[in-house]
Amino acid sequence: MMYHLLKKLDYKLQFETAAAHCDIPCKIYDPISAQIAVLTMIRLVDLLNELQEKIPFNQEQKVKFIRLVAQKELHGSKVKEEILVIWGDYIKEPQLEKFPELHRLVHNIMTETSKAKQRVDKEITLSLLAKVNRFADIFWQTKGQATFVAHCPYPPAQSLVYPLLNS
Amino acid sequence: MTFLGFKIWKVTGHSMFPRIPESSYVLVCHWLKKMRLKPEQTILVHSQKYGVIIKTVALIDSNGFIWCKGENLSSISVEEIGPVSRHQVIGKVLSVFKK
Repeated sequence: MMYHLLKKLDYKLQFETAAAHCDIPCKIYDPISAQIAVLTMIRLVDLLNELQEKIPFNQEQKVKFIRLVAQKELHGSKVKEEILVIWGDYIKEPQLEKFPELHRLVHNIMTETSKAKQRVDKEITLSLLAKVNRFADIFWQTKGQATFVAHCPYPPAQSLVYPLLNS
Repeated sequence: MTFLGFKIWKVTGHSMFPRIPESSYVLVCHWLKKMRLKPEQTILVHSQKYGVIIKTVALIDSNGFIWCKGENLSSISVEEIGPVSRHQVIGKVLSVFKK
């Protein structure tokens, strides 16, 4: 009864929250977040290149430029984070034995993401996508899941490795 | 909203389960923190790394620093939380209201 009363009061007063932080091994891993983050970086590079033709920028274009760069940075960090979580938390000795290229591949993804953040270069982002796709392919193989490659049905319309899931 | 040093807080996260499940409410006394803390008391702490967290006192070391723990295996560890000083303690949990 007291709980329900507090819940109603919470709805009105919005009590402050205290976090009971946890680090649950929830076993939910999926490289799609990293893949989409790279796609976003590619799209942002396209938009930045389009914007370059409008130099000198007016006020609105300056704001757009800043936002595009900020988002590219953000999604670069996301690529790194998503890959590192799978690499650090999911990948274990049996996967490393089966795919000895994994450490090198992850390290290359890290350095290439840094390059993609530093530069406005589509070639670098496409090369990064190829590596992240390879990582996704390995990930799904470790799950015994077949994959297929398809163009994402939205800009920048690049190839992605998807798991072939049965309904 | 604080009333006479008492305040209701809502809990997020699972590290204090089952005693304090997620979405529970806790009544916290803000002036009891000035009294001596003991292990196994539940407190609210302002952590520089994690913000306001609710944890149980694991131990108080010889320098007076408080080391906190969660109450199940999913919690971040005592070492990850790190030592906190008395100034970072917001208050002591007096009651838990759960579903």
